[in-house]
Amino acid sequence: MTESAPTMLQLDQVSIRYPGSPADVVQRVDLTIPEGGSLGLVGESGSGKSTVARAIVGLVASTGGRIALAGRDVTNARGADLARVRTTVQMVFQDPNASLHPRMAVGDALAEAVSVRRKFNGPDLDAEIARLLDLVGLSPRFTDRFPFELSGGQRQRVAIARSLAVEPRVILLDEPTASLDVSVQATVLNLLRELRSELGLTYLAISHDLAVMRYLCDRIAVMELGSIKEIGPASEMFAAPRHHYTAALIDAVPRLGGRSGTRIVLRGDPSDVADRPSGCSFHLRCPAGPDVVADHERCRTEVPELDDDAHSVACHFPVA
Amino acid sequence: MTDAALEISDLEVSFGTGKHRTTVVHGVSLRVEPGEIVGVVGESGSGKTLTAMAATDLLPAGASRDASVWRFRGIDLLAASRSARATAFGGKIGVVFQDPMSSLNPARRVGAQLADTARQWGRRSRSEARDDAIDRLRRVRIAAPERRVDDHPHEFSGGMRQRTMIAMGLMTTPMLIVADEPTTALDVTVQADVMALIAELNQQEGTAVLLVSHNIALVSEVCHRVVVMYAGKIVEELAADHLAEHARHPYTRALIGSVPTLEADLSRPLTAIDGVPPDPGQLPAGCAFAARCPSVTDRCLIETPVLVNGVACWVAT
Repeated sequence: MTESAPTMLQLDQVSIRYPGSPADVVQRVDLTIPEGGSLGLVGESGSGKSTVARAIVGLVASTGGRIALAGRDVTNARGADLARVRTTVQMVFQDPNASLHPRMAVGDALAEAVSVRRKFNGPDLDAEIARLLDLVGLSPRFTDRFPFELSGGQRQRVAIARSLAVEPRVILLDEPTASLDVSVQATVLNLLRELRSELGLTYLAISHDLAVMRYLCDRIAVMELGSIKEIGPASEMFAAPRHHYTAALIDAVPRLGGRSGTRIVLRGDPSDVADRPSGCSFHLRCPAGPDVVADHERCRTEVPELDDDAHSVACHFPVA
Repeated sequence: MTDAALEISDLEVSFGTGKHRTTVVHGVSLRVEPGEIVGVVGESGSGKTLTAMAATDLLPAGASRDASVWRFRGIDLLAASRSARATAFGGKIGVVFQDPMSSLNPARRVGAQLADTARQWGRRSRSEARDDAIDRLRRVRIAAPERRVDDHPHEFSGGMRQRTMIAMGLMTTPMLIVADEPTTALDVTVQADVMALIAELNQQEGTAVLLVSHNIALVSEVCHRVVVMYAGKIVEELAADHLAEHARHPYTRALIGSVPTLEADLSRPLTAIDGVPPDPGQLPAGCAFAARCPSVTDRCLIETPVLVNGVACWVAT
């Protein structure tokens, strides 16, 4: 991937409000992912990260802004346009138990997905299923197996194989390894990295586990209460976070062999979008907020905007 | 030598009877000293939860326990009746499970559920128990506990519910807290909060903790000693601060290498452990990890390694 790679996915000031909800759950989000790029959306539960992914594939309607896929406006696409979105973008969910049909053999589940792309005749279909299984490191023997006969990691491989069946260009990974044991997580993460470079895929990954994101993504966007607080290259973000929220998230990752120094403690629990604090939505929990630092009063009233830096932060008083 | 907080030796946990009997925990010995935090690490099906549940008399129906020693605070539990065991543990142990929503009664106020414990084991009056509940909610950093004590569980966030479960354990003065994947359902920030609270209780009150988790990094952060389980057996037991550099069992090392960390070299893949663990009810001959082990020798396929000097491996030095 080079800097000049064409834009694959672009979100422009996207806002989302669920019907009946008193406030936007996603607020004016801008994201750009070049073809072959990999962006990680991180944040706590309720930050709106999964909602963003759902809006891209039309599972929820956006109520403002524009979503473009490979240069085409796909905002709230319907009918044939939506079908095109869904063959270009595929989702891999957290729990393969819930995303695989329990009474459908692996081969049948893959055949169904393959048929969306084009009709294969018998031997060709078998070959195509074998190819998909091979991509995710499973032998053709798995064709006749049912989900209950598979381990958690094998199920997630099948779910990934199925997402690849329509030859997508973008994959949305929603907590792809959260339900897996660590040793299995490692194999799935390795697989996702290989697939991206082999097939030239573009990833939008969602996780609250920053160590997983660091491994999978080259850019990271940190969401808090519906808006992006910091966005930039993963290496810079982990080496020198600029937002206090990012610093706290990174600090909260368990370190093998224990941590050095004191932990950054966030006060209280995440706020709710229905009750979003004024000014900076993070100011009530912020270790550099107005309740902690006397002359940081503007955090209570002024909403900070993302600055123009390549490693951009929305904070009045960023981490030095 | 003082009495251990909890001690169990040669534990076997089985399901079924007669020829349908399947043993899934094999000869596990575990000791938690007063004031010590011991971590039990392993993957799904390693027997880590059954071991903790067997040691605290919380086995599910259908599971049976066999052991040569079983003591809590020096009290022999092997010979004790079920009600005598309940009295021994009652008020002296706090248990925190993975999913706090399924541990709390959704139809009852949080404070009333906390008060039950104090009324049952602390012989407190209704109003005293309520005051205790408010005090313990404050202790686990629930804001405005005087008001929150009358909330129902659904009005609490996931982190607050898990802290409530810890508060429930604190309604009396527990000597041991057993926490089974206490933070798996929580955000990383809240996870760090809950773990800090557990460590603080240990430091301030000297409460012993038995922490069961699949997350080896998390365990290494708060525990003094770590027990690694695989296929129903202990494969290694070591000081937590030795984990990163001095783990000896190939499985422990692979487990450590498989965790993505903030320091890992990104140019290299994570350590993958090929294959799947054997069914702990049908262990192969020799070492249960042999089929997946990068250092396997002929001996490993024939002779079952025993735990000597903290490691059960023919190859580890």
